Amino acid sequence: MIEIQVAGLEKDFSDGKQTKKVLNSINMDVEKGEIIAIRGNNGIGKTTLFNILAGIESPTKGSINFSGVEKKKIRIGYTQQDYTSSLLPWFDVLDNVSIPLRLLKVPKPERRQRADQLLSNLGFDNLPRDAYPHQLSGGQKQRVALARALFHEPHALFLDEPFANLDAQAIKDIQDVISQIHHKKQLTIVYITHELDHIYLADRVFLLHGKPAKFIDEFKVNLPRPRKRNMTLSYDYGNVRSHILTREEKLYDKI
Amino acid sequence: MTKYSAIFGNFKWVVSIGIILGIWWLSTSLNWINPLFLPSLDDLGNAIRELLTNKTIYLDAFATAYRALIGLVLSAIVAIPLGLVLGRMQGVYEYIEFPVDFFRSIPSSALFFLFILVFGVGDLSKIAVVFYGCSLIILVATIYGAKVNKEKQDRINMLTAFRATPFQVFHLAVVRDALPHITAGLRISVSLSLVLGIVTEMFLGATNGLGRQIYDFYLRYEVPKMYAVIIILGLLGFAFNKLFFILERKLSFWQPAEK
Repeated sequence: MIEIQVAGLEKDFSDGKQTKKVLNSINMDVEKGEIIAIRGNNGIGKTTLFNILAGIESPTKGSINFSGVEKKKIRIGYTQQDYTSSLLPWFDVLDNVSIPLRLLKVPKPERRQRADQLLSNLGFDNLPRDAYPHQLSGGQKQRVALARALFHEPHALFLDEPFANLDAQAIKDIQDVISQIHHKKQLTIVYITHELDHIYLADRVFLLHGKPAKFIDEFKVNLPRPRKRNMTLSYDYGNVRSHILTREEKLYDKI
Repeated sequence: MTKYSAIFGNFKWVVSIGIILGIWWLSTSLNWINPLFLPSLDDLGNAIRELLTNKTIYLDAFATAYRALIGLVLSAIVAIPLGLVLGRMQGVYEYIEFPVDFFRSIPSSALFFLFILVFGVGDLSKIAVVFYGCSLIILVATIYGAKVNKEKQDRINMLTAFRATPFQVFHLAVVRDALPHITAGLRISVSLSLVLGIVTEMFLGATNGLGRQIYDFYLRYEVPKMYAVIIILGLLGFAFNKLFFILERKLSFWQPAEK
């Protein structure tokens, strides 16, 4: 069953004198519970596409539909590429995690208690609940951002480069959490990644390319669920990896 | 930590005051400086004691603080909301950037007589001078604090993705983010409000206030009392400054302290 349908999406930016088309003819059908990885060069328009999917920006043309949910009632879980600046520095961990419920005017004791419970459920027991963002490591900040994205039980999760600027252990932990959440809740997840080693979580990988950018290719990742890191050593994964690499090398050689 | 810093680390200000008083005492007791310019510490102590036992000085301090604070509070009431709105509306700000910079470049003292013409010689003209000087500083600090930069845009995007209303975005990201800049602007303005309050009392026909007292003692050559009022004024300014510094730290505890 299709959960998210993106059809004919276009985005233009105008500085008053010139109009620049950044995205053109973006089409994507995402099945319920599917994980999609999006790849593409820096500055190609991945974050713009994510901002449109998350409802932060409006498309110039085209539509995004979530099946069975009214547009106004869609709940999006969203983490930004720069997880440090997306956390409110004047809020502690629990207040940051519980922002989605604060916006719904849930009383403070209740939302803090629920945030604490969520962090425990996610296995983030070592995350200091009353610490402020400037007292946390990069990996801890990303955990807070991820927990916040999950806090209001979103219909879909959009993660903009969730593994960027993290050390190897933090990347492993975050990937394990994403894999567990997906396994438990069958949540639809779309994420951006530059690292080929990080696409093992995805069911399909979309390649965004061109000016204006559009999806020029898609690759299936046929691995059993739940996904584990050691699957990156499998023959099937090596095949997908190699196909993507070959395609990308051809594309970038043309530039 | 050395033994010395362990003992004196928290009392550096006592040491510095001790040094200043020591130099003062030497200068006056060895007659290095004419007592007309610098009274002896004994004379100064007597003058302070005499002033503090007379209720006039308290009424004067209150009059000065009242004018400075009313001017400051009015500046804050007008400049903070205006700055928050202008900071978010870059297009509108571009229209008023020039007049703001132009008026900021006119020293408040140059407008003394214009304000007397408009508001008369009462408290209103003095408060207007304080308001003029402080409001532009607070306005510019607030605009700077409310301006969208990359970090703030990330926070606004995050809240928008969680379907925050425009008011929630404004309250949770814009206002909170601007608070350190606003309090920094207020802290600078507190000192300026006292300076302007004092100067207006000297030159705009005041009948009371610490500025008036300094001017009167100067005219009567009562130098120790003039020094005494200056020191009381310094303590008042120092207290205001510290108060706002504490407030600034409380509101921006996540940022490194700037003394």
